[in-house]
Amino acid sequence: MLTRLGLWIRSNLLRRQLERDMQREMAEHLERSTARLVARGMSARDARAEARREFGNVTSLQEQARAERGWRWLYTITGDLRFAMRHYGKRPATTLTIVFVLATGLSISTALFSFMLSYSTEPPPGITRAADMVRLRGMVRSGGENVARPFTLDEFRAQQALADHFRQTAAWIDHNAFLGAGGDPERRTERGSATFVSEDYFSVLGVRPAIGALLAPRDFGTDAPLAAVLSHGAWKQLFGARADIVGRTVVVDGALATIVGVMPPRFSGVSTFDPIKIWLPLTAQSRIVPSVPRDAPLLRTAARLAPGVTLQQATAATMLVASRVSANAASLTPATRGSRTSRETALTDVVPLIAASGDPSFERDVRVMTACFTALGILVLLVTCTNVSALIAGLGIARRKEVAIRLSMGAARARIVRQLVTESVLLAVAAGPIALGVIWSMQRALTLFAPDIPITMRVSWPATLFTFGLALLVGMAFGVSPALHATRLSVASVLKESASMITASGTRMQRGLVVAQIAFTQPLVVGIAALLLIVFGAYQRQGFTPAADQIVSLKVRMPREASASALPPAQRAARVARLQGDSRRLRERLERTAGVVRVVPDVQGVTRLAAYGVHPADRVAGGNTSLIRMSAMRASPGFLDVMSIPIIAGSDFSGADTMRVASDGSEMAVIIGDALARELWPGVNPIGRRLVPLAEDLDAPETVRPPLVVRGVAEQNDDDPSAAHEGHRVTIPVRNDSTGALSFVMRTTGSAGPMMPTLRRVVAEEMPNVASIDARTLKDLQAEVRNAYTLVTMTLVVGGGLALLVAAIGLYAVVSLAVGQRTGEIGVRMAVGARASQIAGRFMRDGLRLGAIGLAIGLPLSLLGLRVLLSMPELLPPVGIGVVGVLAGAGVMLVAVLATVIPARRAAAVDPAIVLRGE
Amino acid sequence: MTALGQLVVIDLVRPLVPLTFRSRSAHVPAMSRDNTPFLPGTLDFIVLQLLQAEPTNGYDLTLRIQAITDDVLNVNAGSLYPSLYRLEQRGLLRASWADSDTGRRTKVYAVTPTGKKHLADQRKEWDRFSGALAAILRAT
Repeated sequence: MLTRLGLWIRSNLLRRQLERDMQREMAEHLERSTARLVARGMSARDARAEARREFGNVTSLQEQARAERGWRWLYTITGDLRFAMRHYGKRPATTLTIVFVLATGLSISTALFSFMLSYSTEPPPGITRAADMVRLRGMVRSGGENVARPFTLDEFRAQQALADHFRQTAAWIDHNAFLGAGGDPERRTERGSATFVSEDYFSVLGVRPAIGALLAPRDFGTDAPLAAVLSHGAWKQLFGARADIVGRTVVVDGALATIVGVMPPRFSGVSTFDPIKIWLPLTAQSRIVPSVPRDAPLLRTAARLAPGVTLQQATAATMLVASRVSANAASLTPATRGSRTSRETALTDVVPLIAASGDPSFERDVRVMTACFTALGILVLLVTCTNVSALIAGLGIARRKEVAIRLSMGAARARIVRQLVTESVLLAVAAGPIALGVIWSMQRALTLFAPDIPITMRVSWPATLFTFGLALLVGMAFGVSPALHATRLSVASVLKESASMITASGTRMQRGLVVAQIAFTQPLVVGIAALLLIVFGAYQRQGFTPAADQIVSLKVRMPREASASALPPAQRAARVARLQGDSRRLRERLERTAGVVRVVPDVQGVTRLAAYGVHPADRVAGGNTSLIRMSAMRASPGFLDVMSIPIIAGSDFSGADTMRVASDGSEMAVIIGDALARELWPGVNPIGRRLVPLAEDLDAPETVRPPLVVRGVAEQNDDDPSAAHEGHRVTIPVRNDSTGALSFVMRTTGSAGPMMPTLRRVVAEEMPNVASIDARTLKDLQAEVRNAYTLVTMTLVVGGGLALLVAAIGLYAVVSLAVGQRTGEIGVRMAVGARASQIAGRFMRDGLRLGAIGLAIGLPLSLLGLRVLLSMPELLPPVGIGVVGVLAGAGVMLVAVLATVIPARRAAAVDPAIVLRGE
Repeated sequence: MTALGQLVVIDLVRPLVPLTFRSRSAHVPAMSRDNTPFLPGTLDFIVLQLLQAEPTNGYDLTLRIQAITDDVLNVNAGSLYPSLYRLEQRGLLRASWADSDTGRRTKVYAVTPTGKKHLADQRKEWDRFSGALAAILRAT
């Protein structure tokens, strides 16, 4: 057996050598025969001829010899390939187009499928998959949907105690933080996140540091010095990727922590994906975020299953813990917790730790996203397949005559089919590496230009094989079908080419392909157009301020102090007074700085207000008197002025407004947007009119509900882009007792960029022990948002453009092949008196009719896609989607027309004399 | 030989032909001088037998077959070379380039140990077959 294998390998590896040997040997034989015959008295010429006759056909003999060596398959394939190359070489444009379309379509759909597959089957970036790695998800069932329920420390400890079920359990709390390099004289900070982790966190996730070490058990002591592990992004952006990082300090919300290690690129923990991130011991949470009580439910947990434990068993065990813990909590504090747990049951489930199995409240979104991406990938694949099919089928139809000739000369049907299959495979083989190259470069680009973006772009082989296999199959099917068809027709009729049946059946297939092409392209284009509209709408609602480079946001952080709630009242009051003094002093100092026009405290976040209605006495005819949803930002007097938001009626808040915001039922001033003013009080002056909270919403806990009186109307876009469901955005005065905050917005006379170092220096002088200074212009902040929008828009435009291009290529190919086939017919028509415009018109009408059928078929698909897209809660139905849908349809139609015009004109330019001579 | 006798012979010989070659209709059967075809598989047998006696090249082999059979079997190159390559591919022959008596470089074929074993098996089969054939001819 081994000897045989060796011989086979030898005969294939040393093929050239053996081939040479064979030819030498046969030549030798002929020479000796000739010599023998000459010796018998023949002339040299006769002897040579006789020797050849005796020997037989040398070529055929060599063929036989090769067959004996088992090379027949090799020669057949080489022959087929050579033929295919020649065939494609004669049609370079079509061939390049097919390869281009295949490569583009395959790379896009493979990238999409790969991304979706790794998202739904792999853990978050940077974590290696392990069968026993699970996530414990707490949730409550509320209104038919699961809402995430983070765990308390007690519940986590109880989960940790389930040693029979979990080998290791880890918990973490994510916290948005300002991070900066320790010892930076300018105290610059970046927004990032800090994750407080339990001891087993890193070992449960199975991750290793890239530099230094992970958190050691001694770092988890309550009094231990703060230790931190940096993400790769934080290391690069805060410390410029310096090598001597271990032992340096990092500032986290004003506290200093010593760096012990750096994690590898892309690892960003489990739940939040922030490139700038640090990990700190769970015990450090109370020191860095003292305001959060120790028993607050904030923990998320993950674990490694004990050997042999199933997900169901683990879920059952954690459910038991959940019910016990919530029962305890209810009995301890019935007033605060009882109402919640009586209505909603605390649940827990254990699921594999993969990127897609995150927060249970996002499950629907994840499903929608998966569906969208998969649908997009399938659409791209379908468009590619129809396109390639159209091109290959076109080529195949054009070759009917050739097929018929070969059949008539005795070629077996199987032989011809094999030839066509080889051709399709050749195309796929050419396009495959290009597509893989494109995917590879996308990956490289991602690694090079965005190494810290936590996105895995791993090429998944199942997805790749699936896409490539499908394209290959479709290509083959369409390559083979004309051959099968031609072999079924009578050879004579094909060769005569007068038979109308050939063109009839060919055109039917082509027509089908055109229709399919348009039907698949339309939803793609409509979907992309809708996404563009959504993005554009969101961009517009951002309300970019005009003089953004003259507005500075300055956030100053002082070193952490103990939580104010823990202090006795007298000390607390003293601290508030001190903070307010500091804030005022800093503000005054900044206002004295050259180039600064005005400094006001920044807004204190956004509060959701209760449901309001217009006071009965203030209602006017035509005004909205039903329930109004509002969310309010708390601003100081002058804030709107600094932000260059003009007040078009009434006035700004006064200092007195900030004093009168106690919850004693007295009225509070409000500044509303002009749109709301027009909605509530059309045509009358809204100043002084009142809004009152509505009784039906009184049990909503965290809302503010004093009666409101309109102080002013600001020219502002009152739609909040990120939270449309929160209703109109209004402004209420900031509380006087909270003005101790050290966040400001200021207005400068000129561009504020060059003033940043001065501003930082001023702050550092005024407050020598400042921990971090975060200063940036509104322009910079807006530029980040703009860049994000530009990126998304560009991606969509390029995607849509490619889809249209591919569709146009397909249409053009199909129509121009149809024209090419009907040249004879056109010639006859023109010879009997048809005008060129009539011929062109006929082809155009044909194209348009097919386009219309395609659009009609694609319409339900488009509508379905839009429905799915717009069912996502955070996406507002974009304005004018109907119009854009029609426009997108018209765009596809236009492409269809353009793809028809050129071949139609070519058809009209046919010279009947030449064509008829050819007939 | 009667027609029946020929049929019987062919049926008996068939097992001698290795399975792998049965489907290969490509090789042209060698002819004897009066154009009666060789029994399938016998050419390989003859080639092996002759080469075991003395390794030689393809041209000399054709001459030797003619000489030994007194020109009854005229094996042309069209049959001989495929047979040689086939046997070489199966590992029954080994080829090497050597200088001939006339001073030319020729490709000389020799039987490998596997080939010898194969030939011995073939001979046994042949003896059995020819015995059977003789019995049939005697009985009729």
